[in-house]
Amino acid sequence: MDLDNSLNLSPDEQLRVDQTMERFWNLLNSERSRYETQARELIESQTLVTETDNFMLKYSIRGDLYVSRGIPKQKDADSFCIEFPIPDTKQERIESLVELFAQSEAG
Amino acid sequence: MTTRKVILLLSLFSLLIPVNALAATGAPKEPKPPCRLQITNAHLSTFIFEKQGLRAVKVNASSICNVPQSSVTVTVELWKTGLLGNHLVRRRTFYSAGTTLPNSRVNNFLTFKRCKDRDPTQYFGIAYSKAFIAGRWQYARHTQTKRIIPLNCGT
Repeated sequence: MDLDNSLNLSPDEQLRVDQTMERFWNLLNSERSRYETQARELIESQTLVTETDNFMLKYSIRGDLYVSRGIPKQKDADSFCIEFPIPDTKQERIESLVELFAQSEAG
Repeated sequence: MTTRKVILLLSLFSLLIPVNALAATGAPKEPKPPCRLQITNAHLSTFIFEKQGLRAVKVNASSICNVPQSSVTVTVELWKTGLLGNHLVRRRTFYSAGTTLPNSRVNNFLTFKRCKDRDPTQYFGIAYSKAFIAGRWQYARHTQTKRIIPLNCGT
């Protein structure tokens, strides 16, 4: 495959991205308390499973990474995986997981 | 460098140049790959910034083929530079189910990280992908964005 550095989003693609980003920011604010509780659960038990209307969300700790897998409830639908390094401090870990939960639920 | 060595080097270059020129013009062209992977430089997400005054650093990538592709996986990594090496900020993999029509894109436009402050930080992206095309797996090489971009976004 070739690599191309130019990438323009169509209006439809931009709209979908904007809607997802907006959901992310809204969830980050409205669900913070629940996410902080989930973060403590995940840190303690190393795994956590939640769900949204469209996805089963499986969170885990793999080596030095936090991992979120979005498994679609509908057969043959698209899926995703988000990973990032575990931060050093406990406060940073909680905050990074809050962001991960919002990002995963936003889709 | 002695005069003798300079003459020797110039002679070597004069021998190489015609060979390279011939190779450039005479060699058969490689067939154009059926797919390409497109990736943007790291950038601040303007939508969030304009609408809500919040900031995030982001990299977009997509795979596009002129033939049908199925089971497409597009992975995007966002990295920042550091004194003791580079640091992974986010990795997001998008798995597309089913078959994608020729010239339709499979996008991974949601690899981002919220800025926690305005500390100047240098970012770059890496993308790679795989797809099942014409009965076999095709892989796009692990490739970095052309530029490392300084952004006022500490993560």
